[in-house]
Amino acid sequence: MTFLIRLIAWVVVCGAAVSPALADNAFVLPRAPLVTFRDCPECSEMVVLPTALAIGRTPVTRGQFARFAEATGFKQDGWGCSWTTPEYPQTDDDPVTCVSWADAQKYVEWIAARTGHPYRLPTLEESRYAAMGGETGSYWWGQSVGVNRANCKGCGSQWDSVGTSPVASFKPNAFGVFDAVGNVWQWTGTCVAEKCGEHYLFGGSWASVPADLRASAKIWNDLNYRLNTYGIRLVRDASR
Amino acid sequence: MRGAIRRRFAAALALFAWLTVCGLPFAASAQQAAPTGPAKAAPGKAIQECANCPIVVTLPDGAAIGKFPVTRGEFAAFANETKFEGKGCYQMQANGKDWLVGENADWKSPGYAQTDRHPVVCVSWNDATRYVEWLSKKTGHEYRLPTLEESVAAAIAGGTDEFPFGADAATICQYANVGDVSYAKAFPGDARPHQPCDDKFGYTAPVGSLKPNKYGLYDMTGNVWQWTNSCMKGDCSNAIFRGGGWNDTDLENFRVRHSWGDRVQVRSFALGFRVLRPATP
Repeated sequence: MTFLIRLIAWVVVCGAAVSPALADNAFVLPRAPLVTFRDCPECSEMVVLPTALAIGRTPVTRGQFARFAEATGFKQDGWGCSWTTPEYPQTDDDPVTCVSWADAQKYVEWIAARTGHPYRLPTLEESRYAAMGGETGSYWWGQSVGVNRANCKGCGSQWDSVGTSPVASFKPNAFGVFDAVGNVWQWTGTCVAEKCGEHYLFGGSWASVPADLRASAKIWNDLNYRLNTYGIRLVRDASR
Repeated sequence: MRGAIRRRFAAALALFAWLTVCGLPFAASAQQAAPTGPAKAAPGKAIQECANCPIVVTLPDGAAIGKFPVTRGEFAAFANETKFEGKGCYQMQANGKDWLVGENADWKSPGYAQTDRHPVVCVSWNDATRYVEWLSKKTGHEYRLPTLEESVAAAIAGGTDEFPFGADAATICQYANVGDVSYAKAFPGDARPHQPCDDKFGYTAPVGSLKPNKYGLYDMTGNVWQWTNSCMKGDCSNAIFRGGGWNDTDLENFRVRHSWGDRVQVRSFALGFRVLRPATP
């Protein structure tokens, strides 16, 4: 009887500490290998998310955008910077910037026509999901901004507040997404209001404070604003 | 006896209830009649705190806003004292479409002729905030850029019209230096349709050259775009400016509620600022 009581007490007191350890060993599945593909030589490399949505592993680069501009005779005019003169030095591997939502949409439509696949801009929710890589903190790497995790203002990289960094200069998240946050704000397909005169942007840029890189942060703008902190990331349904 | 007490009590209760319900408006009006706070300057009063300081005009809420955009002469006082330099300024090209950074363009040489009475241009939001900081120190009063809401309220001047100068777009050249006949003469390569009137200025105009709005404020639209203290749509690495400039041909730019924005580092040869002096507590 005494033994039984002791056993029950031991299970109640100590069992709680033991069981999670058991669960970890017994039930966690190995992480699935990344599934990646590229639909054309100048297309973004895509990675398939657990939701079967494929997302660009990096923002669209300036080199990739240049192919589109050459093929279509794309031109920008009016106030502000242009993708060829973003006010700071860039390489072809830097993300394209100084693109408005309307510019991004033209690019997306061209890629869709070129590949025959339903490319589009991600929604705000899809951007958040892909950027967090299954994590739930402020950033996919944890609660604090850390050092040299992403390109943002005061985030400890050589590009801090200077300009964009070549894509994939930092470690990817668990979904294999590079520059998930930071470097350039990414235009989304999500409208601010029903009239759709403004769209949200996600992720923060090289000029953003760390708080703007959190998944909860978002900004928005008219469809014809092009700033040297705005860029493009593609998505498409992986099954079509 | 008991009945008398009850009656008295009821009367006292009624009096108390009456005072509670009806006394408040009296209390409020008494407070209005004898304000305890500092007296607000009457709206429309002009204040200038030093020889080269911008003139500000008091508004109904007690704040005061620049009567004009900050002039080149006023900015020069700051630049000389602080050894300010800031090169690199966007300039619209002759075709009216392309904007390129002039690496050597700055507030002293924006790419066209100006005098000290012209509004200063080629100043970024960062430059403008340095100026207001300097002005605050110099005068001992807080000066800052107006928020978008403050700038719009000062522009609309208690009215409800589409433009700071009223509802009639045809009168625009009396109040605002815009992309008009004179502008078209200065930029013959610009194919955009210009405003079909003449304000007599091809580039910036000396401040106060045209008519003021109902608050006595000049250039609340036209002449130069003006930086505000407001972040753009969630992103504080950008700030909003409003007002429309001397080279804008589309009427849309001059509507009270129209605004644009850009990076806080950006300078443009059609973009200046106006100061606001908050109500002193």
